[in-house]
Amino acid sequence: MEKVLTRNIGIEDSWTLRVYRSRGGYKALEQALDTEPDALIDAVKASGLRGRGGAGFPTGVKWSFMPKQPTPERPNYLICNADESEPGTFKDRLIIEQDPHQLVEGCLVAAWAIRASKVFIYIRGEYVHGARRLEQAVAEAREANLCGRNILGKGFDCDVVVHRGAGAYICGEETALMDSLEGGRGNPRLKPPFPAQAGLYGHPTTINNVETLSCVPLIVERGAEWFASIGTDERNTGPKLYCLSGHVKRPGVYEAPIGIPLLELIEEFGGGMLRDDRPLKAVIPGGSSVPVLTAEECRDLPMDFDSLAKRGTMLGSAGVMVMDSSTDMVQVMERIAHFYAHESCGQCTPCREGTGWLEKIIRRIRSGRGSLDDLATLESAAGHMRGTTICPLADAAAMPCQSFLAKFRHEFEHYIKTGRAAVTAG
Amino acid sequence: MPTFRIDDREITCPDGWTVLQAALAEGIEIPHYCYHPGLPIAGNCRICLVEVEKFPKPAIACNTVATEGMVVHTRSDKVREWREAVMEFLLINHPLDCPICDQAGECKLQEFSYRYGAPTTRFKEEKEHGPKARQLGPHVVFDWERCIKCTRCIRFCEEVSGTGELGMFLRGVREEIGTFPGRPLDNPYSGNVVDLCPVGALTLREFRFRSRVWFLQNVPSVCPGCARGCSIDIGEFRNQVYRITPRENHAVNRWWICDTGRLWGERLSAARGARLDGPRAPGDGGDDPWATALAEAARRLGEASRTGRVAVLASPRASVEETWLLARLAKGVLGGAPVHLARHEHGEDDDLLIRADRAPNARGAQAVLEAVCGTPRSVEDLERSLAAGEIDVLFALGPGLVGPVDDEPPVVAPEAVSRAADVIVVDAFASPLSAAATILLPAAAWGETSGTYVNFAGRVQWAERALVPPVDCRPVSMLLGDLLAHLSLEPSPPSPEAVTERVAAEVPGFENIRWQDLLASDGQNMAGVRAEEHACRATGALVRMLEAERRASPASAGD
Ligand SMILES: Cc1cc2nc3c(=O)[nH]c(=O)nc-3n(C[C@H](O)[C@H](O)[C@H](O)COP(=O)(O)O)c2cc1C
Ligand code: SF4
Ligand code: SF4
Ligand code: SF4
Repeated sequence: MEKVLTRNIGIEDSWTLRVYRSRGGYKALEQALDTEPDALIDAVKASGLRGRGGAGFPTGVKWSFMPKQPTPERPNYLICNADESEPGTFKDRLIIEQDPHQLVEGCLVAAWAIRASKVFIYIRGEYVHGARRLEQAVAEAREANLCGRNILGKGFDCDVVVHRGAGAYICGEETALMDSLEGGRGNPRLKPPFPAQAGLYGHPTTINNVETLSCVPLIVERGAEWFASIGTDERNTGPKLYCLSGHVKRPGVYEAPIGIPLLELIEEFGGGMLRDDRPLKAVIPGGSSVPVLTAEECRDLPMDFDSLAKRGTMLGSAGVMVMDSSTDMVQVMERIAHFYAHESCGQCTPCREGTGWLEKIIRRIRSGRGSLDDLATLESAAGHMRGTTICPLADAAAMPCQSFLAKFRHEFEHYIKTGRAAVTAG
Repeated sequence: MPTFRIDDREITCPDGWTVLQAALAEGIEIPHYCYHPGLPIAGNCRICLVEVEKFPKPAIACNTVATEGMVVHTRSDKVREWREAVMEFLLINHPLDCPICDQAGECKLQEFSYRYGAPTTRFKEEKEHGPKARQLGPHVVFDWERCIKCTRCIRFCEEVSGTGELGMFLRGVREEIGTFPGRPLDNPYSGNVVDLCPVGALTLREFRFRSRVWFLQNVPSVCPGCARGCSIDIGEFRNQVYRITPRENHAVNRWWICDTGRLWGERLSAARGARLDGPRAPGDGGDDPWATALAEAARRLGEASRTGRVAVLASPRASVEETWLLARLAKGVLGGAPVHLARHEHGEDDDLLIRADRAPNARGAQAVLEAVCGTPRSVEDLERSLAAGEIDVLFALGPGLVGPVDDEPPVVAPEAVSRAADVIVVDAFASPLSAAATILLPAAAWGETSGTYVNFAGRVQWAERALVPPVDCRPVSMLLGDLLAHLSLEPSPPSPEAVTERVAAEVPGFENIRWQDLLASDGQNMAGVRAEEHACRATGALVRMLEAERRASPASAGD
């Protein structure tokens, strides 16, 4: 397939305005500013674009919740979520570092569509290089009157602010991100109100992922129909970035039409399993938060929102983590549990207490001091974390645990019975 | 006004109310920790999860607005399971210090665990440990292990006291309540966080480890600290005030009191040395110093009333009943001697509770005096008459009736007082006035008598006696009654309650007041007064406005 999202990557100085423009950059913005905002929203709806940040919410629908007549006292805001902290996920980074103008242009088009007067790009603190690239890109754009006052002489005022986070996974959750952006502690907020009613500084806000926004200029330029023609069906459309990691020969970020079969992704892009004597054992297809798949379940599996949902997991952030037969699944689960225990903001009782409890039980099992009733406790504690909290982090911690237990129970039992892992890494 | 169902009950509630508010108003218990009616909603404890038909997930009752036709289950098997799960999560790392925890006996964790929790634990790990006694400020001590992270304390400092000293630090299970460098929890209302804390994580330094709460007798009373007259409970045990806590009263103080009021008991016990004990009169007290002192006082008052060179000083710290008896004395016995009303104003009103007027009954005293012997005169007036040598006998209710006054300026200039030949003082704690007394009649202090107080806004409240006065001190009403009887005008009233009935019959504004109704209630307004308007500032006005706004806006989707 023709590369579109990553068309500029690999070209010398791809991150500069000069190169971006020489390759047709910012034409979409010019075109968009001549289009009615609502027509743009309709186009994005028609394109079938769904959020690339994790939940897969239809982007055009999300935009349509925004007030149509913002006032200077109650402006609309756009936030670009560049916090990218989900384990196994590193696709936004590629765009941010190598093609920042694509993102800036996407932000500005989206801002026009939702009538936002300011864009905040919230980038994770560890992306120092990326933040510099973004800041540089925004400065270049401002210099070229692509951002700021009276953009391209078309009467649209909109500035872009790059803000660096301070290293908390939870600040990728949209409302925690807003708290953090406002200068507070990043705690997810109760909903309602939803961000489109009262978001950043209490004003109507739309928040989108980096990749989501980067798709927008493509839709403007090439048309919704073109976008919708890529993918599995009308609910799963467009080009997609996949983060391939783990036991493959060539880990990396790969662009493919949404719905590419998982095994094809591993074989064609990843160059196959790392070692030929170690066959595929399991895949976490969408970042550490989603249920794991067994090798068997990976067969004939289109990597799109609905196909993965049907198989009981999620596309999530498209962080595809491939594990071969040498993988100790209990160890993997311990690492995942540790991550969520460490990153829980701590507000909600089930999450604050549950994430730590899961980790402690699994660690005890791995140390050879587990018993079979621990597995029932794990299952029930994880179950009680589902749907009972303010934000989905508790679910994100519970879902892998439930799936690991269901699918690799024998490995847990092996630890309990023998005090050792069921596999030995050779 | 949506009509909806909770379990088998049909309920109608005001628009915008949450399921929890409506349930509580109907007497349906839904357990909750982080929700408090005086604080903005946090929705973090998750114990109030209920099942709402057609909702995809469990819903927290505290943040679910009741809508027409909604069907809510609070006792279904699912809800039971969710609650039991949240209880389990709350307890896995909880130290269960109950045997040494001050909260035991009034602990929501104990109560809900008993009612909704599982009897055994599945937790086999080492519990998280942390600091057990971190001083957050002069009065509040924090126990990390007991804290359930409900953030009530933080929200109080943000929204009610407006001081924002507390914050949440760290994350996840290591989260902790703390203060910012160099900014301890030190504001005039800091003690309220102790009441708000649903567990024993925040304790009052002054009450820690002093008594099990079930030993305390909670006597309904009125705080004497200022003209707000907050409704309080005096926690009494063995004739000592162990603690003072606010009694919810929406016409006066809502759920709060200030630290001065909360620590009034400590103030009283610290000032034991300043307590006036034993009557004092010229000459030999004989076998019965009280009889001698009273007879002497009566004799001198009787003489002075014939010359007309007598003045009376009333106190806004005396109760309505005490003031009424004083007024009777001035009018009936002393031939209409001028009555002056002391004032105790220091500083300014704040915007929550504290009033510049540091006396609990200025408005009541004013009303009673006006009705019985005309508008009271000022203390400056008294000082002028004294300085002019017009007064031989000064009969005064002193400034120390409710507590020590060593931090206050003298209520009457001592030079002026020294011009009177006789100074008869009724008081409980020493002051320059009692020091100048030629006859001293030591009185029962606040807390040791019952009586009525009228706050600055006209709210009439009853304070019930909590303590027995020291042997040599007598309740002011008894003492004034005896004097009246001595001067053979009328029989001594049998009790303050009997006086309250006379006041109701004779003083305008008190027509509808019955002490029986006042007892342990939130009081009553003086006729013609709408005290609700003066109730303390509603909490976190901005937050509530935003909350109302978000309730009003239609719930739209997002992700
Ligand atoms: C714990 C947590 C962490 C998240 N982290 C990120 C993140 O790092 N980047 C991101 O784009 N979305 C993240 N999300 C999803 C966002 O809340 C939000 O759904 C997303 O930014 C919306 O953008 P989209 O509609 O374009 O997908 C996270 C969600 C949760 C619950
Ligand atoms: S679910 Fe966890 S991370 Fe999310 S708000 Fe609750 S405690 Fe915080
Ligand atoms: S807070 Fe409650 S449950 Fe915890 S130790 Fe104290 S009394 Fe016991
Ligand atoms: S100290 Fe008490 S009030 Fe404060 S968060 Fe902890 S449990 Fe809640």
